[in-house]
Amino acid sequence: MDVDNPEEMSTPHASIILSDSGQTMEVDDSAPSTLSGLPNLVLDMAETQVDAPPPSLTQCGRPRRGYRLPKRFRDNLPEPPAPAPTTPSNSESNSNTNFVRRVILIVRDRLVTAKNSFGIWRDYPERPSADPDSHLTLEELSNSYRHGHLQSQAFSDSETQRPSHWPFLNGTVHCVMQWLNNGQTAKSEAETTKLIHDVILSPNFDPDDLVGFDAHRENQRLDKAVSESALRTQFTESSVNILILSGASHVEGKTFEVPGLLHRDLTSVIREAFESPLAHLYHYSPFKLFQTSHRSEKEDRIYGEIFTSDAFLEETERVQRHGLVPTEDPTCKREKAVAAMMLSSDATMLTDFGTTRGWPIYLMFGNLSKYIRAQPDSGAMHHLAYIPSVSHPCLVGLSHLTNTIPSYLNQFGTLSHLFIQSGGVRKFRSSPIVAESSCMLFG
Amino acid sequence: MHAVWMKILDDNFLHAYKYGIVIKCVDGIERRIYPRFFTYSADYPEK
Repeated sequence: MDVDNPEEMSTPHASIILSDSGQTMEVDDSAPSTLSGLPNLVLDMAETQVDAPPPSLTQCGRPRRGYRLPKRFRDNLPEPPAPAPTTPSNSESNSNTNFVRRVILIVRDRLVTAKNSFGIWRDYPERPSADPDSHLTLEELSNSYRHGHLQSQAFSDSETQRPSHWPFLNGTVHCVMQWLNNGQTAKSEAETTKLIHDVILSPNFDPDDLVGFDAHRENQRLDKAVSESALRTQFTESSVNILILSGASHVEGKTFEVPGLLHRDLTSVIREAFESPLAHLYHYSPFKLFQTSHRSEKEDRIYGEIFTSDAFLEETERVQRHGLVPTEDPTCKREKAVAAMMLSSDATMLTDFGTTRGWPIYLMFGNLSKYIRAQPDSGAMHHLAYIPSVSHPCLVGLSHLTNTIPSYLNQFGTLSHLFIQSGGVRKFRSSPIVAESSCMLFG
Repeated sequence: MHAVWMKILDDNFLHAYKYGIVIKCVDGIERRIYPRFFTYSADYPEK
């Protein structure tokens, strides 16, 4: 079939298939593909093309024109990269090579995936144990997708382990307290009817359960349970010591204690993140992402994610080759993966009115695609710590140290920016000129 | 800020950084996860 013949091109369907098959054929010549079966498939397509019926004719005997939507109305649906065939990590097979000494045989199981309709393909240095993108649906690839249902799922998991009358001792007390705290404060007729029908006449109601009942104590029990299950309990509060130098050679620096630092255990945050429902989208195996241009057949590397970056590739390589295994478990054959931590921190206004502000340190993971991570309700950002700002009791102590700092502090009220801007407290200078100029530079 | 990081990067984390931590991931595979820092973006607080 001759593509250049305009009459052959007149049937839109035929011309589209032709261009597709032609391109894929060339692609197969240029790029290696370990996906067997693909070339055959393409050949089949080409053969069926030869047998395609001639273009249908109009009543006048002319070839029927093909009508296509203008380009601006055509919508290319998003599409994940071609899936990578995954294998479970079975490092046991390598254990047979233990008897070979002084020879390190590094077998790379390189994997190049097929191209998708945008010409995008992936080059794995090692065959991945999981391909999170292979489960992506069209809905998840679109902009309107929200991960809200994942979060609600995460909350319900912990809640299902509780008894239905949590946190009360039994169902009867739960019923009574539910009626008491239903938001209605007036003792109205409707409320009394509700009390009789919903509580006392309920099949679960048992007067024996109410022996020794005290509404105040039950309310306290509820308050305690709610506060314990809150996120706040995961944080520990501690204080940090900072050293402020006096700036003069004959006066020694003084250490100040800044209380109120709230922080979580970093290891537990990482563990929690990798066990969360969102973690099924985490990338553990890095790869290089390429696009082959439809026109020039030129291959371009696509940079855009942590897990396609050279840094992640190199670090994974380093960890897999030289990552230490604890002495308790020297024969550990588990797959070694990198958690790409991305930290950030900035002072944040917490209310529209007033001066309530927090200064959190956030933790995100580069193993997750930025398109999911950047969604406000994805739950991908973990709060690691809340930094305290230095308050007045500290400043009182500081003012005794040197007479040049207070004028500066009075202007800004807090000290925190001072030692941050000076690159740590050790370089702190009390000269007002230096202080002012650093304020101009960084403030 | 440096003092805060001294608190966060405790011995527990340093052990995890060196030897990794075994986590059973959502897909059911146990992996030894080595935490590594890739980016750190922090602002100078204004006040």
